[in-house]
Amino acid sequence: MFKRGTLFLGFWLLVSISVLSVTTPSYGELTSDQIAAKSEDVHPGSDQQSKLTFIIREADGAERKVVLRRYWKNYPKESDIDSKVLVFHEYPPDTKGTAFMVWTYKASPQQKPEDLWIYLPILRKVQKLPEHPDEIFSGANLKPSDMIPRDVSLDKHKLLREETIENQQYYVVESTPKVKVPNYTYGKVVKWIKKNDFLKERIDYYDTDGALLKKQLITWKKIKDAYVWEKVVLTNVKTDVQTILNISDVEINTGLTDSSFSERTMSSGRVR
Amino acid sequence: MKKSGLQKRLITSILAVSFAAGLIVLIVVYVTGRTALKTSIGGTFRELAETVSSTIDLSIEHHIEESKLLVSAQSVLSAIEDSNLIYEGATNQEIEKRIQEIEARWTGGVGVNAYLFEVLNNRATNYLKDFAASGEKGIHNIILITNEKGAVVGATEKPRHYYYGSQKWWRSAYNNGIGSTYVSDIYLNEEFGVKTLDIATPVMKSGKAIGVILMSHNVDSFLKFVAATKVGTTDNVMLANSDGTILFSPATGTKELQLDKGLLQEISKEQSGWVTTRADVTYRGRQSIVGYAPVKITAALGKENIDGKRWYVFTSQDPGETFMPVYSLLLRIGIAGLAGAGLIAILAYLTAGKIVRPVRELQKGAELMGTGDLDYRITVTTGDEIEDLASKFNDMASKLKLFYIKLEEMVKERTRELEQRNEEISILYSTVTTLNQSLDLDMTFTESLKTLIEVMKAEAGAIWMLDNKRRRFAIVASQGIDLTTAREQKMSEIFEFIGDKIINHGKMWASENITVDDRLENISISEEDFISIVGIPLKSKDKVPAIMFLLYKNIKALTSREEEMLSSIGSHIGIAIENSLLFAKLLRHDEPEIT
Repeated sequence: MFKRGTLFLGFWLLVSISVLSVTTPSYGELTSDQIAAKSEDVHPGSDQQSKLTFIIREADGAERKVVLRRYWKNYPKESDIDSKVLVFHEYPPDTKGTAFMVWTYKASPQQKPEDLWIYLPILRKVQKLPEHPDEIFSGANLKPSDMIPRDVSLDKHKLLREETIENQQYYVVESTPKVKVPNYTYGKVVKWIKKNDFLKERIDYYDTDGALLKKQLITWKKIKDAYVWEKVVLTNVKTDVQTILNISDVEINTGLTDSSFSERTMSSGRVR
Repeated sequence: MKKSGLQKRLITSILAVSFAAGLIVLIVVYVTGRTALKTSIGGTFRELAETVSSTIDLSIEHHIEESKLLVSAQSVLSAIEDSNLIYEGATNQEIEKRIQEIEARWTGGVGVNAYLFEVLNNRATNYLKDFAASGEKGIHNIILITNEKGAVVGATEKPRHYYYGSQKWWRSAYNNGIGSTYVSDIYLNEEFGVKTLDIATPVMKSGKAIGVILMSHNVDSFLKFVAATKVGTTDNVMLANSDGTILFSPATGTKELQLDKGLLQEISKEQSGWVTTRADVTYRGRQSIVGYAPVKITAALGKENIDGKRWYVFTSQDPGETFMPVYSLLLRIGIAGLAGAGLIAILAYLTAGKIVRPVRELQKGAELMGTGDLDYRITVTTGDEIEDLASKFNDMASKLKLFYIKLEEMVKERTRELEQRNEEISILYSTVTTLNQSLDLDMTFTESLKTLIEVMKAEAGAIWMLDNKRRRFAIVASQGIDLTTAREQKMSEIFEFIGDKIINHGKMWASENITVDDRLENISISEEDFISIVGIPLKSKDKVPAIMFLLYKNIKALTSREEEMLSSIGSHIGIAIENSLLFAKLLRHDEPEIT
């Protein structure tokens, strides 16, 4: 049960990236760092509500589906807290009512790890989770480190080339960690960033030996002044497991308050 | 020339009759054969059209069923349901706007597209691909499924569009959520560059359409069986719609053709049949047989389908091939006829020869018989009228020969009689001439005896006369007899016996064979004597003053005419004797008296 819960958390963490928004594009000569910075420079809005549908397709074609209701609130003006996310399970039925909550904190020399809570209806109890190890997320195809926004200053960025795919022009930027840390196991990440709006539409993950591990495709959707993920397809090239995320019923700046992100909300299932 | 005329005429007549009969047979065969063939071929073409029509019905039904089977697959249902979830919470305007955004990017700058990637890699797509791969290769241009908004969910290959909700096939199949199977007319698909038949089927769940599946068929493959359905080598089974547009024609491919309006009117019927026409699509201007049959499913599907049109299957075949059996039959009959004519000519020659030969035999026989060869017999054994005629000719020749024999005999008889008369006349003339030349009695006796012996071819003769001086009869003249005394005595004895008979009766007396003549049984006749004897009374005034005897050493039989002649001559001689006696009496006045 714990593993399933952590798996669902993984889904949420994956989705949490979609809150990124982009700034107005620049048409001058850009460095790789600038391109990387622009691709990560998103304005998520003050809050979001959305429905997430995960489809995990195994190599043998078997599929399973997970549907979540996601609530997110941004704290740009806070010095410590970065965002709060609350996720309720809607599908499959046996997990309905299960809730997760994550609080993430801004990057700093004394980086504070995220706080995680889980509510399991069968236990009728909210439980605080320890710092999540990567291995418990294997079923979701993504490690927690994939799902947490990574500060561009932690990597070296290199513009590999400009590439045109099906009439779309991209910057292809390679990001390599400046310093090896245990929580980040990739040797490098290659991103296809659209030249016109700096949206990342493809991310390839490599291990430290330079072998391709995963491919991630992203389709963005503009709502009001923000771009959010609408569809994400993640393929593990080693296991052929594919994760498809459809994000629907998206609402921006709905006025979520701090009280919505509490253990009580988790247990009651009602967000105010 | 004449001899060969009959045979030539017979041969010519037989050949003429044969050719006339052959010509009539050819005409009858051509007319009846062509008519029968038209009926037969027309029926075959009608059945061919019916078969193709039924197969099209079955094929469309099969593909409709196939599409229904596809949409019942869980992977398809799940993919559509998942796709439809995206629209939750959004207004129709928002959905439409977003779909158009994706469509714009889909048809413009696609780039790295998670939608496209998912469409081309999801389980539904794999299922569709597996299905397409397991079926007939090339039959599907594309199989795609859409969600309830017309957005693509899965496809066997990248579709040109993401959004199909505005297309007729989609609207017809979705039918405002009610769902209805849709079959398109056959059209030239610009996306794939081939003639296409679309079948769209709603994906239903709980009585509501949640999506649509489109099976876009390459008509060349879909209707491949049509091209393969043949009864000959130049067959072209085609499909036209009720506008007269030829939808499918294996012989002409994608070339746009339009059916002649008259022909369209003839074939666009509810029942199958066949017609003859000069407006055939492939063989225009030539009389062709066209079988036709309606594609019934096009009526059963309803007006929303096939663009409200109907389909008709019709056939076409090179008239040369259609009527080849007749031409072939005519050719064979012609060849057989020529061979038959040759055979008939030979038979005619032989038969004519057989008929003419007895006629010639008759002719030859008639000619020979005409030239007098009445012994020639015509040999004809035909057992018919000619043989009968030959028999009549032979009878005629026999009778003619008999007639000629009798005629010859008559001529001979007449000739003989004439000769005899001439002889008699000659004898009479000679005798009379002899008698007239002299009044001397001795000379009269001698000359007349000599003449008669000669003309009667006797060996000897004598005149027996009454000697008044001796007052008895004695031989007064003789020829061819050595009259010794004894012999004279012996002869006188015979002459006396016979003389008595003659004098008493005044008639000639003759004996063919005195040796066996019973009348002379009392007279001895020596072996040296003559065998036959004729005593001729030399009469004058009913008196017999002398008798002339003609003697023959062989048997001599007198004819009645000889007897008459000799009697006549005897009278002349008797008169001459009397005249001589009278003359002598005048001269000497002592002539002997005749008593």
